[in-house]
Amino acid sequence: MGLVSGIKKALSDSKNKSVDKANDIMGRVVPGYNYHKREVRLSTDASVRDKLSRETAKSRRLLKEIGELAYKEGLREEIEHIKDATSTLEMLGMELDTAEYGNSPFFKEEGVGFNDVRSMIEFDASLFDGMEVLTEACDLLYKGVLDGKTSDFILQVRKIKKNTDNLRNRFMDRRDFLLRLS
Amino acid sequence: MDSNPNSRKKFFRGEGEIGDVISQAKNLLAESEGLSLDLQKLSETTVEFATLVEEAKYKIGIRERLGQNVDAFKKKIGDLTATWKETRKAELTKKEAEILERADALERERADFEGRMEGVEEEQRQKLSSELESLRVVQEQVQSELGELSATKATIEDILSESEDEVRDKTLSVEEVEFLKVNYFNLVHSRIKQGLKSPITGEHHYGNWEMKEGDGRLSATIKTGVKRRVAIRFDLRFIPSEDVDGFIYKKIGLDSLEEITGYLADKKDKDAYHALILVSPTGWTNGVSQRAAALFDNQTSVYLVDLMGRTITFNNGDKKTAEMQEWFSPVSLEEEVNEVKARLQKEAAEERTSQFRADKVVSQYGVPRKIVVATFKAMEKEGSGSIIDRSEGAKDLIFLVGGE
Repeated sequence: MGLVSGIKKALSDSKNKSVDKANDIMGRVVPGYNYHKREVRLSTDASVRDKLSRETAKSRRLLKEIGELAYKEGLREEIEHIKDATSTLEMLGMELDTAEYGNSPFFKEEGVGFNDVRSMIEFDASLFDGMEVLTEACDLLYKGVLDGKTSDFILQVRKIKKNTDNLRNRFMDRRDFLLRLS
Repeated sequence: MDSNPNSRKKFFRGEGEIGDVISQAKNLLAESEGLSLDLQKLSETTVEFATLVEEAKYKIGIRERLGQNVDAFKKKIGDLTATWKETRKAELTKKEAEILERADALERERADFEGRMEGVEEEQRQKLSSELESLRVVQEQVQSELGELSATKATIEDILSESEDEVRDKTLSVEEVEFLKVNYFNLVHSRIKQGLKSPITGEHHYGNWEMKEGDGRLSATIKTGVKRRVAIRFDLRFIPSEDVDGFIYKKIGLDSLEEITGYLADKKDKDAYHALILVSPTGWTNGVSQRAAALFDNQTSVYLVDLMGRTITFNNGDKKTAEMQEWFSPVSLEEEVNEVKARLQKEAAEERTSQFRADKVVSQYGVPRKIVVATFKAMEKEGSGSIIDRSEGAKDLIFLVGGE
C-alpha cells in the first residue's frame, strides 16, 4: 500500500530509471530525497528521520490527550496501557532523533551499489507508510473515545503498541543494515 | 442510584466497539490514495480537454479566415487570367504579325537585289553582294527572334491552359507556408540525431550535434578536437517568396544565387564539410535549379528543396552531395516506402508481375536501395509476399508476390 507499492513498482524498472522514479516518489514526502548522490545522502537520511520523528510526535500527542481523558474518569487500567504505548512511541522518537551512524560507508563512499540504495529506499518507504497508519489509528482511537465506543479500547491500544514495536524493529533493521555495510 | 456504572462516564462509556483501528487506518489511507490518483487523472483529462477545445477553436478560426481569403483570391486569379488572355496574347499576336511582315519585306528586298545583280557590272556586283550578305544576317536575326517568340507563346499557352483551380492549387496561404516549414524543419530535426561519416575525411562522428534554430533558419554542427573545429555543418535557410494579399505562389528566382555564392565564399575550417539547404515552399525557377545542379565545391554541397513539389535539386554528379541528400529530402522514409509500395502493387496487379528484384527496382524507379529494401520488408510484414535473399541462392534480394 501507499509508498511501498509505488516504490516496488518503480524499482522494478531498469536500474538508473528506477532510482530516479523512486526518488521522485519519495521526494513528495521528503523534498530533495536522494541517496544516489554522495553529498546529499547524509542530509537525506537526516530529513527522513526528522519527518518520521514528527509523525511519532503526532501519535504521542493523540495518545496523551486520550490518557488525560482516562485520568479524568479515573480509569487506572486504561491509563497503564496508554502509558505503555506512549513510552514505546517515545523510545522510537528518541531512536529516530539520536541515531548515530554517520560513519557508515553508505554516507562516505562515492559509489554505492544499486542494491544498497534500493534497500534504503524500501526501508524508508515502509517506515513512512507504517508511521502514517499509526497516526491515523491513534486518531481513530481518539474519535472512538469521543463517541463513547470504548468496549475494545484496551485491545486497540495494545494493537497500537504492537504496531509501534514493529516500526521500532523495522528502524533497527535499517540501522543494522547501515552498520553491516561497514 | 444508577445501576450502570458507565452512565456516569462522559467518554469511556463502552457503548460499542471502536473496531480494529490499524486495519481501518490502512483502509482509509488506501482510499485516500485512490482518491488522489483519481483527482490527478481528472486534472490531466481536464487539461487535455482544454487543449483540444483550444485547438479546435483555433482550427475553426483558421478555416473561416482561409475560406474568406481563398474566395477573394480565386476571384482575383480569375480576373488576372482574363486580363492576361486579352491583353498579353493580343500583344504577342500583334508582335508576331509585325515580325512576319518584316521577314516578308526582307525576303522581297533580297529577291529584288538578286534580280538587279544579274544585269550589272562586276564591281557593282561585289558591292551588291556585300549588301546582300548584311541583308541575310538581318534576316537570320529576325528568324531567331521569331523562334524565341514562338517559345514564349507556347509557355504562355501552357499557363493559359491551366484552369483556375490548378492555379489556385499552386498558391499557398501564409498559414500553409508556415505549416510546410514547420513540418520540414521537424523532419530534418528528427534526422539530425544520429551520427554520420564525414564525406570529406571519412571519419565517423557520433551524434553530438549543436543546434541553433530560429527566424526560418536551422544550423546543426558537429565539432571535433581540442580546438573544437567544425567537422560537419548543415545550414537550412527557409526562403519564401513575397506574399500577395496573404498568398505565396511565386517561384524563387536567380536572386537566391547571392545567398549561395555568399555561403561558398565564407571561410571554413580545414576538412570541414558544409551543406547549404535552401528551402522554398513554392519551388525554384529553371535557371536556379540548373545552376544548383551543376554546382561543385570541394567542401560544400548545395541543395534546393521544393516543399510543395516535394523535390530536392542538387548536383548528382558530385559524390559527396549525392550521398548526403537523404538527410534533407522533403519526403520522409515512410512516405517514400509507401510510394514505392503503391507502385509495386500497381505493377503486380496490372502487369501480373510475380517477383521484384531489388537492383532492378532501384534502376527502374530511381529510388535509393535502402528504400526498396525497406519496402520489401514492409510488404512482407503485411503479408503481401515473401523475401528471398542471397543466402537462399538469389542473385539479389527478391520479393516474391504472394509467395511463402
